[in-house]
Amino acid sequence: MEPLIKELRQALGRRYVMQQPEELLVYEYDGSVERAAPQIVAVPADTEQVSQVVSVARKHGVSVVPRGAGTGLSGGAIPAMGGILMPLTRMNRIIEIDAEQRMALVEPGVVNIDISKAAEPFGLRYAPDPSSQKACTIGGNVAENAGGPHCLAYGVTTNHVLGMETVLADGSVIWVGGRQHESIGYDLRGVLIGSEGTLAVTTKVAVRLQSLPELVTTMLAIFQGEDEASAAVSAIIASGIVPAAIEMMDKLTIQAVEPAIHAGYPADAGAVLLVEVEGLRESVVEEAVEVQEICRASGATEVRVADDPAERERLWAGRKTALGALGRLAPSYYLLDGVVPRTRVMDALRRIREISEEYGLPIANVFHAGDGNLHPCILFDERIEDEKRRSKEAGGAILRACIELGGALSGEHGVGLEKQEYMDLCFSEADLEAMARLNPGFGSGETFNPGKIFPTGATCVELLQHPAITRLGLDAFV
Amino acid sequence: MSNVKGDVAVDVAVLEQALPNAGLVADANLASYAVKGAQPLVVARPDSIEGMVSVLTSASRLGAGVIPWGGGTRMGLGNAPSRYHVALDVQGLHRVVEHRPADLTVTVEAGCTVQTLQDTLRESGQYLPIDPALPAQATIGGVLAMGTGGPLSTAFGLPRDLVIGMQAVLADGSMVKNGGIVVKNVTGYAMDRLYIGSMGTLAVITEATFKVTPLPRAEATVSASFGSVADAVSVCNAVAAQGLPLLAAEVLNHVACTRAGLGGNTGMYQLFLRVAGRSSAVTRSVDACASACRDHGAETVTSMDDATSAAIWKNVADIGWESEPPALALRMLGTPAQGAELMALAGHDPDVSATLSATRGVVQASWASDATPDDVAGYIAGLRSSASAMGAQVVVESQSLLEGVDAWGPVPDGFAVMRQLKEQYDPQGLLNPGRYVGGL
Ligand SMILES: Cc1cc2nc3c(=O)[nH]c(=O)nc-3n(C[C@H](O)[C@H](O)[C@H](O)COP(=O)(O)OP(=O)(O)OC[C@H]3O[C@@H](n4cnc5c(N)ncnc54)[C@H](O)[C@@H]3O)c2cc1C
Repeated sequence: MEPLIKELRQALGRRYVMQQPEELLVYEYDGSVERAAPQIVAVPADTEQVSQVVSVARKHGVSVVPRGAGTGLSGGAIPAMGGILMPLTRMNRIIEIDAEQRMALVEPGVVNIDISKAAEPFGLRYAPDPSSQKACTIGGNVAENAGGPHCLAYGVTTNHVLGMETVLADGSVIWVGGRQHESIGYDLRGVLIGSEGTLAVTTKVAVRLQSLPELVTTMLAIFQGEDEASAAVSAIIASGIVPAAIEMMDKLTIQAVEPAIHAGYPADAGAVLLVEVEGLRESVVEEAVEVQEICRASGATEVRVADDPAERERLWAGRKTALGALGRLAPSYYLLDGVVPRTRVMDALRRIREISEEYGLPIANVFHAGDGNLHPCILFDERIEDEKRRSKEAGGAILRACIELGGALSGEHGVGLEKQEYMDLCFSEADLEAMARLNPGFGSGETFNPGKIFPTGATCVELLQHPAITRLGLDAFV
Repeated sequence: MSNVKGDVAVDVAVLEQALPNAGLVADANLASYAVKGAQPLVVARPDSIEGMVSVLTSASRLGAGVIPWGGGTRMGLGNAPSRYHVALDVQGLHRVVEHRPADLTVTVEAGCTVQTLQDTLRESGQYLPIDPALPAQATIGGVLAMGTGGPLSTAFGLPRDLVIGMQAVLADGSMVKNGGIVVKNVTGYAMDRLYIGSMGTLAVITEATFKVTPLPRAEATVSASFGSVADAVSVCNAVAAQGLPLLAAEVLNHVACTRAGLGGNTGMYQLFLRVAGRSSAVTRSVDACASACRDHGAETVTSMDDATSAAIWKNVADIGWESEPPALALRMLGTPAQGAELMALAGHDPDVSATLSATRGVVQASWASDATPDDVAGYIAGLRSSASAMGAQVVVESQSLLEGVDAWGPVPDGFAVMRQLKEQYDPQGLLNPGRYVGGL
């Protein structure tokens, strides 16, 4: 270990290489249920230093786990096999905003929302908006191919990243994609996005920016039951309207949220939909009217509408405080991420209710309904061994239900450590083998983030998600 | 039989024996499957995924070179194949497998033509927002293998941005899948991104699932002529900055205009802006586009709606491919900011038909057979050196072999990784051998 530390310190400076247990403690967690300690934390300042860390690590046969803000929910930034943890958070400059070409060039440690803030004076924004956008980094977004509430209309990270500067396992630096919209050769950019830090380290990102909408209208529709709300989602999509966002909260979530924010949800409300339409004034006005009609026709008892920012924020308040409110209902929760075809949301919610009864644990649902991306939240008490076990089993049952309904294991949080043992539910051996060949293709070996994504046959680590999410503060939402 | 590459001389008899269940086409017209003068020994046209697996398994056992064929509209692309034994016609797999209108998704086999797919989707008021040339011939597999965009990419990104699931057969015959029928999915690596745009050198795409889009209620096209490309591009930037629902923005030189039957005055550049949405929004967008044109010095501004507008874009998409494949076609790839400059480079030649996708920095230039530059190799070398000084690339497409011209030019950044990937997914070098950049 000593020569390794020495070489890292030579490259980064003494301060930026840590190895005392108390210094490492904060790096044992991310937003997920997992936990593991690195041997060393090395914090590079620029691409060259990243390359040096990687080269030194490679030379000593030690692995490197890149880390952004640590908000990941599948254990991506957990150093499962120890080694060097490399936060990219010092690399947080917005290098360039090119308003005319509508692109920004940023370092990987830039916090998602800061790109939109920097672009706003030019009338632009960066579209993908994970709910963790005040904390998560663009490097982490690229690694997880992050989504967010407004990805319904605009697509996810991969649809907005033009290219990345990337450090490979041999320490070499390449650009994949770039300012050009089309390029020659294989789409290495597209392959690296969503590769969860297992193939290369992102050191710069070129993103597309889009114009801020002229008008945004938010609607909150209250329904007696989840079935009516689900039907409304399908009816909106079927009408040819593609809202910027359609989010849903179920009865349990509403009951948790109401005492916290006093939104005035009726005591018997069974589900709430938040629908946002945006764009040119003319279309937004018409679409908002149609959405309200559809909601009422599907059984909404009340539809609230807002188009000034403060009012809109009030309608979003329940949605945004849901996670914190649910945290008050039980000592622990296990937040899942599954996805089904959007027309199967109703069936998925039914299956989740059955699973909740079967395992004797309350499950709340607060999620991106428009694209079928579920976030069931299993409430339990981690001090009770049996509840802990049941919560894991219920999670597995929900994922299986998603697959049975034609869906997939993860809509946006990634596989990481959390879901690797479920991968063969949706992939054949040949599928997994084809994925595994990317590693030698990029020459990554065991260098980056080993022990993730692929099934190992081992069981999951401790459930510690609740404290990890609480650290993000009260306004954290998924 | 010991099954090592090169063990058996690949000849017609061996192939016919090895591919009994793979849809070998009896008495195939081999010449119609020629690629840059090279003809295959046999043509296989399997009509099932099993047949596809069987062809590739056998080919890899024999070490036979395989070139997958879709509609054949772009077989002039790339360098001459270094080995070519089997023409694998993917058009036996041509079904629209499942359209789920309420989910806005469609699963389609690779050999389905773009037109057939669009016709199916239109019945439910939807479409796949891609617009390659010759949609009645171009297949979905071909579009994805190429990975390049058309005018609609202005609004919807490249074809890859619309793909949510894929089935493919690797060079060794293993059938693989990723993604699915959900619109948001990060389960495992995005393998489809590797195969899309790989020009069929890593896998044969057999099926894809897309997110589709509701057809707009109304559309219109605003057209204006400019003395300079730069002015036309400024209009596009101004329009985009206003957040108008811009589907496409193309600048045509006068040859391109004439060939597309859209008028055109010598020395002038014609801008076409396509907007779509609700009719109220379209009406306002047309006004805004027209005034942006006038603000930037447009001489004449016209607008066309719905049917007329849609018809224009059919013609624009086909430019260069109107009657027969062009004798020579170039695709110049730059940043959006370099578009005008690239257009100026290409547009020098009075016989070239040139179009610029104005917000994307992609120029397409083509020449009819009686009008190609005298010294093609010298002409392209000159263009390439100007382009590479800007960091842009020039891709050459031609039906015949061009002496001294590489179709792709210098290899891109990250090429070492690309070669390693080729080594992983097609270690025997069987798929489209030698055609893609750097011999991938
Ligand atoms: C309250 C809450 C709400 C959330 N809401 C959403 C949501 O709406 N949508 C969504 O998609 N996700 C959501 N997430 C999950 C999480 O925020 C995202 O996955 C985010 O992209 C992670 O970014 P990060 O910077 O925190 O990355 P980390 O958690 O630090 O790391 C995540 C992964 O990225 C890798 N990585 C990080 N930086 C780099 C780099 N520079 N190069 C290579 N690899 C790198 C790591 O190795 C790891 O595998 C939420 C999380 C929380 C806690």
